[in-house]
Amino acid sequence: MIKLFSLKQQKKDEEGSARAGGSQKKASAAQLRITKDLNELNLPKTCSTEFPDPDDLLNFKLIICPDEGFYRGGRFVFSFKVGPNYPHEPPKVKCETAVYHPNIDLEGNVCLNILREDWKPVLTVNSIVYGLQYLFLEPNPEDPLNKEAADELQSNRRLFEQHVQRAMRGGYVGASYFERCLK
Amino acid sequence: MQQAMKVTVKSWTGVATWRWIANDDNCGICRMPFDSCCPDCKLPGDDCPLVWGACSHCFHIHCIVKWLHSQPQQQCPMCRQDWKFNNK
Amino acid sequence: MAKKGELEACWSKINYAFPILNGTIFTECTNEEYEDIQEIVINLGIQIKIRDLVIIHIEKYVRQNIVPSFWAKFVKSDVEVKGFQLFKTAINDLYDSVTNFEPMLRKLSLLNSNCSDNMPIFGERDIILGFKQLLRATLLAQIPLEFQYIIYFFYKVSFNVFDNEYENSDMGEDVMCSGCWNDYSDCNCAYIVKVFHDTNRKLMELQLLERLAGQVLTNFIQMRIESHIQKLCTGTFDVSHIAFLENWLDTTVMSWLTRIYCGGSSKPPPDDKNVQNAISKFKQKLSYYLYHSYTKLRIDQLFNIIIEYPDSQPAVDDIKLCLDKTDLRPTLCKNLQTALETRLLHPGVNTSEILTAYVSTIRTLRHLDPSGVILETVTKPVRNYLRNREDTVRSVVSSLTEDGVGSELAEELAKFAADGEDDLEKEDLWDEWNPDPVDADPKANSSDRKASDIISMLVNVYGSKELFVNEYRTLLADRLLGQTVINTEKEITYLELLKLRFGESQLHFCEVMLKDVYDSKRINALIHQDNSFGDSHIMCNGMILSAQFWPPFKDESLELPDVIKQLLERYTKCFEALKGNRTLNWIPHLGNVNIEIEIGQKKLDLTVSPFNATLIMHFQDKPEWSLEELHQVMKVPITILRRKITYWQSMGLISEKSADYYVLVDGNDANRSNVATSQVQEMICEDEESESVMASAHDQREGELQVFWSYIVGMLTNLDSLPLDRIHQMLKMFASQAPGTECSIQELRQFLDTKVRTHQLVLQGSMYKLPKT
Repeated sequence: MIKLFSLKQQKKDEEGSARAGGSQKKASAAQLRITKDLNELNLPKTCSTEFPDPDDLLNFKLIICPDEGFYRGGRFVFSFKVGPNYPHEPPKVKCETAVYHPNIDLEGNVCLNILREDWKPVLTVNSIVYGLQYLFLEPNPEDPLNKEAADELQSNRRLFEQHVQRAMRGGYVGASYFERCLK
Repeated sequence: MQQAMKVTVKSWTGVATWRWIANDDNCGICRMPFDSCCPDCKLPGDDCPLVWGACSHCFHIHCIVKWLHSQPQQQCPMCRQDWKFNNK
Repeated sequence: MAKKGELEACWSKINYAFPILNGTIFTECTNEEYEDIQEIVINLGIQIKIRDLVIIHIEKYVRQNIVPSFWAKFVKSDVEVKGFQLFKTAINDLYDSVTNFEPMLRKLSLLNSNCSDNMPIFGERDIILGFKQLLRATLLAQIPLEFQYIIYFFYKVSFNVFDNEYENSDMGEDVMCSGCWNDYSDCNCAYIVKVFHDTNRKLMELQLLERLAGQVLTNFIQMRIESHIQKLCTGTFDVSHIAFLENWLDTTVMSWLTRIYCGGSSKPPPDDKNVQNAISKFKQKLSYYLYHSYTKLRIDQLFNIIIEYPDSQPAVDDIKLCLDKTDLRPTLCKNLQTALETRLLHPGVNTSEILTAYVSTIRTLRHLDPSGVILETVTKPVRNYLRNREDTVRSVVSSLTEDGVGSELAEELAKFAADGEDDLEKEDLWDEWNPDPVDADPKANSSDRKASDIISMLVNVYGSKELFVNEYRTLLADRLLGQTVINTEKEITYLELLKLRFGESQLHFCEVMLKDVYDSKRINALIHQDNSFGDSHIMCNGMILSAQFWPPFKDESLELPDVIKQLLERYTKCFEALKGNRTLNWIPHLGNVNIEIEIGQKKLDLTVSPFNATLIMHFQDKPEWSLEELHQVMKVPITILRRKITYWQSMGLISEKSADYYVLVDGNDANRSNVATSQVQEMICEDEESESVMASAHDQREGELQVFWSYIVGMLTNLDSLPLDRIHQMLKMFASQAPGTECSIQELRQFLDTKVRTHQLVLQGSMYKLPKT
């Protein structure tokens, strides 16, 4: 009984707010800013975006399909979560595709300076896209999240390249299994 | 004989737009035009002024203050030099 | 076995008892004599044969004598009173003939009671009833084509007498009785009433009243009802007529009818159920007809009723009542829709008038049908039409913010703000819930139909309130820049009302605009105090705008006179000193200038646009200018110069000496020139081109859509080809919150189609793609 009432009350509130102002409640600062970022987005041809919910600009996916380097032919999906404090805090970016990469661990955490200590609010989604794209062209063994891969890259480039290929075709590298992610 | 005409302007009401004298159009932090206001404000100008750093970069005051508050070190988000307010 | 002579004696006795066998009715045969004769017949065992024989002869007699002589009186006549008499005589004669039959019929009844075959006589057990049945059947079998004329006259004449008794009791001064149209001295009314009752009683007895007169009576009364309604209800909508009409039906019509049925008595006999039933059935029929006719009349007048609403509310109440009693809802919808289309929706009607009528329609139909279904159906064409009118938005917005007469929408806006809270309580009236009418569109939500108020119905004409808000912004900008004295408080009040209506964020821009105006006053005051501004004899005011929040201005060039440029520069300097790090960009062609012109003995005090001020100041320095020279100093396109210089020509100060060569009019001429009389001055001094200084909504929109173009190109480069809805969906993701960047799919289609026309896009099937380079 009580629950029913609160539901009804809530509905009234919604109607009330819908009446004045409709759906356009003032967009948050983060929304305004991400809108501008996306408007100015200038994607390299290897990248594309996907919006699972077109009304929600704060959560989207970036797909990178490198056309050169170790990872040529792969298809890597990153999820972007833009928090309410954006641009004062960087978006949370995770790699959803399992990849054998010195700077991306098996949970999908990405080690990119501008996503962490070097973030500043004048950076945009575009900066992050270029940063991520660069990671695939030039994996950086200096600052590893996947230590095994980083060591391998430094000690045996050919072996590293073979392992990357195996991972992308789908298979085991060491004890870890990688889903196929070739285009 | 032609008589001269005398025109006296008693008052002149002109229309002007104001703008900030800055080296950029948009605030680097919120990306809104300087002449507009930051996302947290409703009124531009006096209510949402610009500030300049010693490095000569400028931002909406609310944007840069919010950034500086969230940082251990006070650096310009553009050039990473130490931030000092320039009261020019 | 009886002898032949005996038989003949018997036969003549039978003929004596039943003269009808010889073709006559009258006989001297007494009851005692008859009993003997019947004895003989029974003894002979031929009672059934005799009965049947008699009946055959009666039938023949009725068919060949009574009925033809009855119908012979039903001739077509043009004289009412003659018809009245004819009908009376016909009924009297018929009644007499039937009466004459009675003795014989009684004998036949006796005979029949001795027949054991139980044969029904013309469907009846009783001889008398059977005879009446026979009479009616024979009458109707021979009914002539034009029988209704005299019946109609009969009832018309008598109704007139009755109607007169009830309605015109105070017409004492006429010489003529309006009941029978005779002089009062030999008024026939009493006679007519007597004959009338007499005749009706006979008809009732013969059970012929409904058969003969029923249809005529019904037609006649319906005609009377119709003409009564017409007489009563033409032209006025501010009185309810239903109660009055019901009363009229009850008193005049029904009491007349009752008297017909009851042979003159005003009350039906309490024990005669048949008569009571007949009367109440008749009354039901007539009531329905009354409502039907009245409603039809009102439906025909509905457009006018709507225009006069709410003064015409009594008429609307009547229709509302009658719609429940009749089946005229579909007729109402159809007729009103047609009326709206023919009287309102054509190029001859101003948009503001259409809007007023539309608002009035909404109000009226709301009252008429709270479910909103009729409204929805009927006003659909109005909405479609308004959508195609270019100035609809502007009309709505300006009438929203107008005050004074005719600003119903402004009232509506204020009302919305005032009774915003009432809505919530209405929801709890669950026990007053009613289902939607059957003609409701099952797809639409009934609460939507009821809830939407007039303003949102107007806004919904366009489907987007952003358009309205944008238009309001442009109008506000025009008003703020066009007026020398701005009533900021009034504008703020409206803005607050609009905010309640459209939401805060939509009108944020307008708030800043008003604040700019308010701040400008303060800045002007501060700058005037500033000593460095110098004590110029020209009072210089600035209107300092926040460019990001105002609608874009029309791009026009104008080079101001040096003295003014210096003045504005000084103002800018003071502003820069006042507000650190900020400067001003002057929009030279906007603003207003108060100037005094002395020429000859004339002194003109005018408020003009900067353009006009600049122009006349140049003529002060040099009395003759060619258009080309003016173009050089003012940097204004020649065509615009030529158009605008007419202002000073109309003031009689400048004339075109030769083509494109203008001179200052001689001072003395100026005095004589009758154009510059004070009256004209007042008229024109307010001058200022009334055209908007803002870029038109259309231009703005074009610009806004152009923003999308780069995205569309980007999309199509990456994805090769896309259908319309996909492009729309993707653009939606990028649509920011600023007003105007929302784009409907139709609008997008139009935009893309223009791109297709200019060969910037290719449309293949339903897919858009970039042309191959």
